Amino acid sequence: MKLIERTGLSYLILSLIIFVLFGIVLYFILTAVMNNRLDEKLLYNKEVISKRIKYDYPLIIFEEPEELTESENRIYPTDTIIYKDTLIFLAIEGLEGVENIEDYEKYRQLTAYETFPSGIRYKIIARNSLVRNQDFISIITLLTIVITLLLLTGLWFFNTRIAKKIWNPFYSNLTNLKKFSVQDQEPIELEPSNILEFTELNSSIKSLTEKLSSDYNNLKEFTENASHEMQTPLAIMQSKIELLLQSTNLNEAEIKQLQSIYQAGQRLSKLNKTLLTLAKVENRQFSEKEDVNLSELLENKLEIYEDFISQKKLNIDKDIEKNAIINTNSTMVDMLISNLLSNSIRHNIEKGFITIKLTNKFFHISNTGNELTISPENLFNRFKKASSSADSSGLGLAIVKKICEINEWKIDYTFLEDQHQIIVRF
Amino acid sequence: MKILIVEDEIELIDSMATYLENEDFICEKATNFFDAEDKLISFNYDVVILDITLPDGSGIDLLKIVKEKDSKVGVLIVSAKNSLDDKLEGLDLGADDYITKPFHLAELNSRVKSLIRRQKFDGNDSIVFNEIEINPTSKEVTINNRLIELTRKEYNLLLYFISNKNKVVTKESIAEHLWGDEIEMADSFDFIYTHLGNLRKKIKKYGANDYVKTMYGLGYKFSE
Repeated sequence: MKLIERTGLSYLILSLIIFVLFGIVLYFILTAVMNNRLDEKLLYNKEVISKRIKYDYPLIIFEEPEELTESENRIYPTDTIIYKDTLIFLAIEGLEGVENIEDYEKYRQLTAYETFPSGIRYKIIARNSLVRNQDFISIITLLTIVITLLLLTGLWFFNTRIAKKIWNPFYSNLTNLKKFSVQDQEPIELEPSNILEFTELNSSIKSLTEKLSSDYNNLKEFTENASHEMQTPLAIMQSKIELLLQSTNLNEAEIKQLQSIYQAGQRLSKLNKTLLTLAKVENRQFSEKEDVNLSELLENKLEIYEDFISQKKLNIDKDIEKNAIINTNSTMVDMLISNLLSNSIRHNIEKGFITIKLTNKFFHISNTGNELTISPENLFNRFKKASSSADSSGLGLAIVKKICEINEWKIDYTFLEDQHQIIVRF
Repeated sequence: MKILIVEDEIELIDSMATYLENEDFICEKATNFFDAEDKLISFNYDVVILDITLPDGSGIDLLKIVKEKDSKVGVLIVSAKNSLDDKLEGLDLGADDYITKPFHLAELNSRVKSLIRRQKFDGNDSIVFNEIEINPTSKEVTINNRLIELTRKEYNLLLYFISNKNKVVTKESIAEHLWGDEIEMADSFDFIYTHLGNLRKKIKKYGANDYVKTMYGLGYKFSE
């Protein structure tokens, strides 16, 4: 639920409660006030009747038929006056062609039990119709409801409009924030607002993202610089060993030790190169796009890897669409295909299978091999190796994933029918 | 053959010079931009090995000086940055080849030799090792004047060996030379055996000696 809706709803509920309570109170007060007035009038009428009875005046001047009954009821031994509302059945005989009106009508009624000086006890009933009062109250109630509704809808409408205007920068900034990626290198664009809280929020977001970007850049630069700086010492190490190897007076044991040093250096240097590649991919140094013929690229790669394939006696089942062309960076897609292909060879078993399917929509490669020892979620993380073989850097799939991320391709790994399946959707 | 090596790391320059001097090249060293500029203006070289990043300047500027003076001088750029931009810029400005640190000395040597062949003889110079003769232009190999059919890999392997004759060439360096450095398959050097085995068989069949010696699983040496 949106903040505006939330607060709006609270206000609405509160207003409704207040208006309903107010309406009820108003109803009772109005009724009480009117009854009070009517009661006074009834009392007056009763007094007039009493006087008339007392002095034996005729009673015909009253429109309402005042019933005069000798009370034998001993419930009210003393003089008593009772007010109450009552319903009276009313029948008006209609004129010709008009229906008779037969209805119950509400009346205010005064019942008085009074002992007159003559010693006779009378029951005097005075009534007055409540119809007009009721009409009056209904009109007031109706007006109240109408005003309430108008006020509430007006307020709601107005509030939403204003809120929309005020919150508009907030929502557009939120969209920008969602789109923000520290890898994009682009500073976040925020819409200004004249609301203090939003301005503060904007400046905080701005400084936060700037800090984030600069930290990220520092880290990236560090990786790249560190890798670069390592190249020269590695080159020195490697060249010195190679020179040493040329010397003729080495015995076998010494050569073996030199070999170990040399191979460790080679591994380090390979690792360093791969790290550098990963850093470059992450730094988006491969951004120039062109139409790349994936089919040709893949066929070329298969040719390059032919030795490795035949050495493991692998069966390749390929289904390559002719001239599958996608627009992307050629270096990156080259790395992607190389990595996936070499993985499928390296992690394969002797006399295993590789199935390749390529169209301009997807690249699917599956190969036989031992089941993963790590969870598939970790497969694409850096330095997560499924095998312990020293030659595997554990960076290949991290590069692949990064390339997919940058190109907004979807990559999925599954282990199905004893085969590692990787599919990249372009 | 005179070579100028421009590289700011003294240890590395020493290794390079030692290896190349062993191949009967005359090597001069310059460890900074100023020295290099001075030497390039004062003397003539056949090949210049150029590091791009120098403490007091860029190798790219030196490249311009070299090419202005004599465009026939072969220039091999050495860079710690494996960046395509650097590579393209260097090659655009007339550099002849590009190699990334860290590199194998055998690879450097083979590149320098191929450079010299291209520069001096327009590739028409054949390489002779006893009864084996290689023509780099037509990529044809003859043994005792008989033409021998070699696959591309076998040819490259033989050329690499002969370029680095009497030297121990490591398996890693061969693998990188044949398949490029993007191939990360150090676990199986078995495929080298396959190609090498075939090459040896063919050479023997044509009556040449087997010059390839195995060096304790470390690499090979092509020598008499």
